Amino acid sequence: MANDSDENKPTSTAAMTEDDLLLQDQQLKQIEDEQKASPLVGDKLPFYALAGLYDPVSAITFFTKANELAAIYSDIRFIRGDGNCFYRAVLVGIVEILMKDRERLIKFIDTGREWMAKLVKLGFPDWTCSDFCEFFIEFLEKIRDGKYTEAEVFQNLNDDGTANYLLMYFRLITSGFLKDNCEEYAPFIAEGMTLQQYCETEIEAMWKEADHLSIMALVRATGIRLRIQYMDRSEAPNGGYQHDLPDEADNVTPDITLLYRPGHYDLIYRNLVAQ
Amino acid sequence: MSATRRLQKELGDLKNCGVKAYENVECEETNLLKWTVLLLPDKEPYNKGAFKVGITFPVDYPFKPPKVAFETKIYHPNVDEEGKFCLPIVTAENWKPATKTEQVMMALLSLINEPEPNHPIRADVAEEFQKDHKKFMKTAEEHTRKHSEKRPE
Repeated sequence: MANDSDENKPTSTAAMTEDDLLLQDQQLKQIEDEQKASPLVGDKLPFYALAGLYDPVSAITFFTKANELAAIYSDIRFIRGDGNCFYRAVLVGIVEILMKDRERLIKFIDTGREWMAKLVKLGFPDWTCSDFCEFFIEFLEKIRDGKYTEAEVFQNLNDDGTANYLLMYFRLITSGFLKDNCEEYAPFIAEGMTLQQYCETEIEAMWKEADHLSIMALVRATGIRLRIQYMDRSEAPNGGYQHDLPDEADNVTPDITLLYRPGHYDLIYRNLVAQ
Repeated sequence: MSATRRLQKELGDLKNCGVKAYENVECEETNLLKWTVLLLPDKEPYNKGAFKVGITFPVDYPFKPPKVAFETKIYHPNVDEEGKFCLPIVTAENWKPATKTEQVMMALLSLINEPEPNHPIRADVAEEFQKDHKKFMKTAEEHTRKHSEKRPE
């Protein structure tokens, strides 16, 4: 449960003085203001916009790679870097698919209901979690019933309150998937932490970045095929420029492709003409 | 404001939950973001009084945690003279949007009932708690009698 004994124990924060806390607050506020200068979800831009971010001299590796990728990818959607970028990129990618694929949309709504029941069974705080699920399901139902234009859908995805409600659904099912498959995934948790603690501190909390384990969990919980495109080889778990999930061998066209730059994910789109 | 939907539900939930540990859950007439709750600890030396707790929710609740502080004075190793305390469940670091105010109140109640003298906010009170427990109990009981609110019948 969320209110287990660990959380009731004061931590080292107790040792911080009022001034420390005030300073910390101010710093956090400043970081937040900087983040808020860019939209949660950017408009679709030509992929060349990426190369424009890098100096051809001082950042030659990324500049070159960005230009190479422009031959394969036609568009990019920048996602705000607030620690939620992976979940947000997947949220936007999935909503885009569901707007075009009615059958999948209906299935996704059903899956949402199944998850809502499952989360409660797994011991998540009952109605707060259901509230996030219901909100997400209602959002999809409005798309299904034609109550939103595409522009309105993106307005919602760019409104902090609404978008973060939708995003929480993805965090919750990521955590729910791991808790439901605890035996399989517990060995991957760093020492000194239980899977339960990992889920609560790294996934169920907002603004915490996703790592490989949570990425795999969300992919499997949603049943999407995801490709992550890396800017350099050192970052990919398989040592290549691309990583396909859930299954590397499964060489089908992915539903969603994300571009990974150190510490950040954006949503990218394949150039359909070139294929 | 996304906070409204959630807070209305939570307020009703907390008012009707039937838990004896807290009562008189109220919110300001014109401001759903400001609540007060009367906390009723069930362990000595605090079980003779009631303690008013103020809860302030941020506009972007539930994505940011509420700020919680005592409005009634309480003599406790983990609560400072202004009523502030450190409760990990509501720190920015640990906050989870699915956490209910009810869970926050339960965590606070547990801290009040079981002081944590090893992580004190008031070192002098913590020292007294550990080294001269009898004196601590006496002072805290007197303090409760003098400053706390009346427990509802």
